[in-house]
Amino acid sequence: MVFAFDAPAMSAAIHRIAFRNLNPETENWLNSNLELLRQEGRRDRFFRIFGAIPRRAGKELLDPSTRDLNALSAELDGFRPEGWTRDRWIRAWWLLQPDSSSQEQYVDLIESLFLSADLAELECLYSCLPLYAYPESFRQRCAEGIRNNIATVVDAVMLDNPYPSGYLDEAAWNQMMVKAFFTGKPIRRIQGWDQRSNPELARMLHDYARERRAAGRAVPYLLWYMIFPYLGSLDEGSIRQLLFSPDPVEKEAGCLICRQSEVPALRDLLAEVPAGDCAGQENWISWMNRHQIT
Amino acid sequence: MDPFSIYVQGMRFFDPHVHMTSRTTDDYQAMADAGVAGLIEPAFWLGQPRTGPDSFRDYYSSLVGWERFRASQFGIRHYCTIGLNSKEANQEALAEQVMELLPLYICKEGVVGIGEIGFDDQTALEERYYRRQLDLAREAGLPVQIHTPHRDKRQGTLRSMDIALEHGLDPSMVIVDHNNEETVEEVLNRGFWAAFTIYPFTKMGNERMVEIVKRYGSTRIMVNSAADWGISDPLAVPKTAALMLQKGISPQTVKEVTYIHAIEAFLPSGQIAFSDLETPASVDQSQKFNGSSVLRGGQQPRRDSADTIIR
Repeated sequence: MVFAFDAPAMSAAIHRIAFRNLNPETENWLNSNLELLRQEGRRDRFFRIFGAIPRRAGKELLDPSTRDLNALSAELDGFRPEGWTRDRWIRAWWLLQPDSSSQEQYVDLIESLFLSADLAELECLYSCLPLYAYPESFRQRCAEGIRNNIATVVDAVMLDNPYPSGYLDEAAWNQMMVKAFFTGKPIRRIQGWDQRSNPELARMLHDYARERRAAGRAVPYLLWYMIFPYLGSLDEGSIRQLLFSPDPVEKEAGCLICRQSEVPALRDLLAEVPAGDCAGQENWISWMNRHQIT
Repeated sequence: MDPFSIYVQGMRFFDPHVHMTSRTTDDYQAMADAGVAGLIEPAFWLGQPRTGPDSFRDYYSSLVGWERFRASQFGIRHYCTIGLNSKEANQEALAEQVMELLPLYICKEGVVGIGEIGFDDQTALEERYYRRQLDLAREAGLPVQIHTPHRDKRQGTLRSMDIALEHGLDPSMVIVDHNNEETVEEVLNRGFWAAFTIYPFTKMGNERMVEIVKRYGSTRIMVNSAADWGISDPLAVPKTAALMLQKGISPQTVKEVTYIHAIEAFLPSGQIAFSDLETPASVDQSQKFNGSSVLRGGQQPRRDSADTIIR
């Protein structure tokens, strides 16, 4: 498989957003360079134009309509970028233009961009991971992005990006989720955050919660939602701490866990809670929304 | 003596020459607290010779990437100049490879000029690569940041300017750095920007700087710290401003030599604007709209370095 989506259709959908109200001079410059790229197929032109786009097109924040975004996610599920500036939209379009007939040459071309990328280029390249041909070839690159120390680059990989959940193996996925908790990312913006939960991840997150507690530091609330399906009766200690926590959000989480648990010992714990404390708990989603848990 | 900060409350500064890669986050925090809104980090050597072009590539990448981000965490706008420094120009084979890398980096975001280039020992090889980079700067329309040698400085400065003019550079596009009492007059007379590095023991002091400004005015003069891995002070610019105010130099003049001129000199690159510095750095504009929890510029947790407790 070359592209995981209809590339010409995606290119057109991105073009509609990127080129809307673009000044004619810049549009001509891009079109003539596209023509030259197609005729000559030269790498240096591809690199040079990619680099020059912000200077030519500016960094205006664009506001694509719901219709625009629907056109994108219709081609590739989960691909609905928001908060992108003009230069990033145009770069995304440009990234869809090179010849993809040779896997080796194509992958090398894209990889080369990563090697000498500046800050804005890195953020763009990682947020465009879903758009590359031969997507399986970019797994290592994705993992590398997650290892990056620059917060905005890590965000570009993790948040609002369908690539990691689609292509990272379980070990790499788990590392990403743990790092996301570690660095305080808005977890619910990680695509597949809920769908790809697994026992090993739950174990790592539960260990992390214990570590935080031992250090006298707060445990991110969403972590409890993520691990509750995997909790057994052996984890009674953790759940007791939740149920009797002075923090009402934690207390509610404890109630939800016990009420929904298939482990009799945990359900029995509910009897120890003062009457009324766990009353009126709806479900996890309302708990998340009510407390604005990200 | 009063702490300098009381004299410069609310003022904004720009340090056009500082090697942040060798400074800690304590320095970034102190600079931000003292009012440094932006800085330029010139490409230089790392204290020991590099052995291959990949070292240069990674270093340049850090100047346009990691270090830029690191500065933004403290609300400071980070710019850089890119070039092959004079010391390492003496390794010919390596220098040739670096010259091939330069075109790739000089047009990256935040690159405001070619620098810091010039002479160290004034060898033939240094001269060759200085000339080639002047051509590159002229073709790319970028300002040039010149490192004048610390040994045989007067002669080296004059030669640097002669060669720059020979290669068709407009003096208003050239910032001659590390000036002193012996070089300032020629530099100003020929229409170049004159930068002064306020650096303890080995370079300019700020009392002497006060005298220079009193004598020559502020035209085309700027100060910097060139703080690096040696004993140096990343607060040299705000401290110099404080001293100038104490010694009766007008606030407008102080603003010119510690903020305005440093930015003005690099405007032709198109990669810096006065409006950039009005608001604290946040690297990705779109972050304002994403509502993400990523730390914004100037929002690092603050540690108390005097506290025995680390929590």
